[in-house]
Amino acid sequence: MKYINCLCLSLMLFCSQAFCETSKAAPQFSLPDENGQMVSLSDYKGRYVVIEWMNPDCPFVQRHYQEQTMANLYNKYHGENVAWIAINSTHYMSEADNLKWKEKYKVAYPILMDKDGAVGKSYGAKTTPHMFVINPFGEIAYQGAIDNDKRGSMELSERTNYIATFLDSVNTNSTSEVSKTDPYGCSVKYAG
Amino acid sequence: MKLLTLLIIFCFGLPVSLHAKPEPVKARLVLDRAQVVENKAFHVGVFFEIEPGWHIYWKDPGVAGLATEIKLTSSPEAAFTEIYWPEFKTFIQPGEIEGRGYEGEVLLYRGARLLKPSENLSIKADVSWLACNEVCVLGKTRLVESVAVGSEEKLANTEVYNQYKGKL
Repeated sequence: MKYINCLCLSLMLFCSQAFCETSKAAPQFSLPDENGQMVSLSDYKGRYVVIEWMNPDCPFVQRHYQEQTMANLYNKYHGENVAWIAINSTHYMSEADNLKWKEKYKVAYPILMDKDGAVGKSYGAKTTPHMFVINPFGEIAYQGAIDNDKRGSMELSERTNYIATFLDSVNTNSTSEVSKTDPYGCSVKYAG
Repeated sequence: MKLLTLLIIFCFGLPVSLHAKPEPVKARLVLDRAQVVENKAFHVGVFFEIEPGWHIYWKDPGVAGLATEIKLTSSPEAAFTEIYWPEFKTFIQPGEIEGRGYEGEVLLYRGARLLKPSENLSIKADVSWLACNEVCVLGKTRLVESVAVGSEEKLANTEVYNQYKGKL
C-alpha cells in the first residue's frame, strides 16, 4: 500500500519525450528516499543537481564506491549551488537496500527508489552508473559517463572525470565543452 | 505448512544478489596446434562456457556491458594478433537497452607466431569478462599452457576451430 501511495504521489513527469536530451527540460519527479521520505527534483530548484543512476549489485558502481569516486566529488562540489541525488531503478530492490548501501558506504546524499523505472526511462538512463547534471534552469546540462575509465584500469591521475570537469566549468563561469558522453556500466535493471 | 512455505521462500527465494557471487562462466585455453613451428602462424583461443540465461560481451558491447578481454604473453616471445570475434548476438534488455555478445559457448581466438627458436612455448592468457543476466558479475582468470616446438606442425582442436572459423 505504501508503495502504491508512493507511486500515486510520484512521477509528475512533464517531459513527454521518451528520452530527454542534453539542454532539454529535466523530467520532474518525486521519489522515496532510503527512509521512505519523498524527495522531489523541485526541492532543489535554482541549483545544479547531479543525478547518479546506481545499482548496488553492479560491479561498476561497486568499484566507484570502493574508490570513493562519488564521495570525493560530493565532498568537493556540494553546497549552496550544487546538490547530489542517487536514483536506483533496479526493479527487484527496495528502500531497505538503499539504506543498507547508504550505511555501508556512509553516503551523504539521498538514494531514491524508482522501483517501476518510470523516472529512469524518462531520463533515458541506460547504465549504472549513468550521470546527469541539471542546471538551475531545470535543463539537462550534462549526461553520460562518470569518467573515461570504463575498465577501471587507469591511474586516478590519468582519468578525466566528466562531472568534475563540468562542475569546475560552473565554478569558473566558463562553458563546459563536454555536455554528452557515452555512459558505461551494467544496463539499468528495469522490470521486463 | 505456512511456516514451511515461508522457510522455503526465505532459503531459496532470495534475490541472487544476496547469495554468494555467482560464477556463470568457465574459460579454458584452446590451441589449434599440439606442436608449433618457429615463425609459422597458429591460433591461441579461449573457449567460454556460459550458463543458460547469462551472456558475455562482444568487442563493441552496445550501450551497456564490457568487451571481453584476452591478454596474451609467452615465453619465449611470440607475436599475437587482435582477437578474431565470431558473429555476436544482439540482446534487447528491459528499457530498450541494446547489448551485443555471446550466450551458451564461444571461442575467441588470436593469431600467434613464435619469434625465437625454442624446444617449447609457454603461453599465459589473462582473461576478463563481464557476465550479465538479472545481475552482472565481473570474472577473470589466468590460463597457462605449454606447447611443443618442432620442425613439423601437429594439429589440435580442429573441430572447435573449424566451427568458429566459419562464424567470423
